[in-house]
Amino acid sequence: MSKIIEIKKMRKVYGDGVELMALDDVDLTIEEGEVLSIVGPSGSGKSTLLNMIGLLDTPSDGEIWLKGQNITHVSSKERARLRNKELGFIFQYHHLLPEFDAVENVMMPLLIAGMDKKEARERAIALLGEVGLGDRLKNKPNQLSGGQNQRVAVARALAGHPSIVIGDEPTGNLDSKSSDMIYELLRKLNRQMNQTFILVTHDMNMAEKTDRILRLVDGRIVSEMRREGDRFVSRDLQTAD
Amino acid sequence: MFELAIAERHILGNPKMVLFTVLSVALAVGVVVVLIGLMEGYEENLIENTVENSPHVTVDPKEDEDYIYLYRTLTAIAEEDPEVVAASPRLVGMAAAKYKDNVVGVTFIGADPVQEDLLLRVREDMIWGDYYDLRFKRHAAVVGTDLADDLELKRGDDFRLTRQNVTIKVKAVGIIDTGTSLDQTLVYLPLETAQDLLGEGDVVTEMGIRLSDIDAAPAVAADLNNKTRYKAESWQEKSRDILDMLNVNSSTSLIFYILIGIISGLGIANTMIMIISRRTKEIGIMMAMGADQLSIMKIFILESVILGPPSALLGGGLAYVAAKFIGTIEVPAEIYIADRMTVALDLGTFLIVAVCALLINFLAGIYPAYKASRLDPVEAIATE
Repeated sequence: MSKIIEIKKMRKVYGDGVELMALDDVDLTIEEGEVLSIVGPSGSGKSTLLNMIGLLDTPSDGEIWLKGQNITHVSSKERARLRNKELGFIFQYHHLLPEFDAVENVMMPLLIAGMDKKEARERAIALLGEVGLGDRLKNKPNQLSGGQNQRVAVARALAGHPSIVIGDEPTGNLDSKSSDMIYELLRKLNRQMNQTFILVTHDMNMAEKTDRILRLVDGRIVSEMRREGDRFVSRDLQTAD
Repeated sequence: MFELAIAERHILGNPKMVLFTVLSVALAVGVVVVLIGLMEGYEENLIENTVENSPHVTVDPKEDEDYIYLYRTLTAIAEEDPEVVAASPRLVGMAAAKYKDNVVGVTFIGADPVQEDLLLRVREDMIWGDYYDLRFKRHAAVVGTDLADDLELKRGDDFRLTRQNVTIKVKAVGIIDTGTSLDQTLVYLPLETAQDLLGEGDVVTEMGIRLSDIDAAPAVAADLNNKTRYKAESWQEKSRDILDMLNVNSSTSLIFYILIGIISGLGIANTMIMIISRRTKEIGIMMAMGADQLSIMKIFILESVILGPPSALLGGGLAYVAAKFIGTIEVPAEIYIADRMTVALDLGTFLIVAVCALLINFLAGIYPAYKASRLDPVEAIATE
């Protein structure tokens, strides 16, 4: 497996007067095809780390490498291009565009990428079929349930064949049944397409299904547990679980 | 072009706000088109009035004289010019008209009815009687319609005209409605009667000339000035003050148009800022999906510009309706130059205003769109 994301000595400081250290000297390597979960209390820097990986935010210090390329200081246009090509986002709330129906929402990243409309529509319809919404193509977000909308959001995140899919509490707003369904969907896609998934979650049930769990406290990675078969093993081989 | 699709949905998603924005711009377009139309209508009326109701060339007495004595010779000289359609020697003066207890100051014009009719198409404006009667009746007069009202003069009544110590009695044989302020003071007399009133013998005060081509007036006037020592003046020269005033007027109007444009631009910008502040989260999501700053700017500038054409069209419609309505209102000829205001609606004017409206929409969209494109995606997505 090759490294897809490398974070080197990353720091993020917010605020001018009273400074808040959101990320403190974080080093992290993520392998291609990995399903990674990030857990930790509120305000521990999980979302900040995710925004860094998602190229939505820039670090105060340190570097971020994507597929062997240092992208810490690329232009905003290039960041936008990379977000479109390499990344897919799933948010806690579906964040679909309210005026557009399911197909159109899924088409959006493809159209932003400049894909032909017809081709984009075909791909969107196929994806919606895969997430089990083949019969809700023309429904707008207000005509779908929370779980259905989140599945549309998953389809949208996957539309452009991103190498990394980022989920910020992707199931945080759903009941456990929908939540499981979404996770199974992500896992299936991960196996099929070898995409990398990085999920921030409060839900330990979900975290324990991933390949690796990072725990953040006060902007630092305090523990890292890797799955080995049915068990999680910490980096220094302490038995977790 | 996903930007257009999004812009379109945003607009359709905010029908009320959009409607009011379109209305405000339409109103601005309508007002400006009507104002320009009124100005142009006024100008057209003025020129038409000048050209139709006054001589194309006026010849005044020589510099050191009060009257034209050899007016028959002058007429003959003027008529040599092939452009000249009519040359009418006229005696224009002031007098008091008295009927019963009513006294009104009048301007009398003594002229040969045939020549004067050729000069100013007098008979077309007659609402009662025949101007040609003045050829055969020495003590007859044609009276302006408002003057007749003021004097309470009825058709066929005798009234008196007094100038200094001369008083003559004339019979009202006709009523004329020129549609101008002249109707309040005008009395047409036979030339000889006017000369009697003046008491200076066989003289006139001016000669009016009508031409087949009104643009030839300066050349004809110059030619007469070369041939005689009388002072000939074209209608363009005589109306110079008015034409200058119109120019000054139009530059002050321009300031108003610009202000109207700025006000409607601010209205559009306001709507755009409202739309953007409601859509902050969506903007963040689009950025996360890879829309770059230029695309975000495009979306909101497009939204602003899309509102332009319907606003302009609606504004054109409003202007048309307003123009028709204004055309039906009667206005007193003494405060305006005609008894109806004309709004000269010109497609060219409308197109220029419409293009300006589009430009305003575009300019008004730039700042809000720029602000939208500079949003921090993390903060935008976190917006509630």
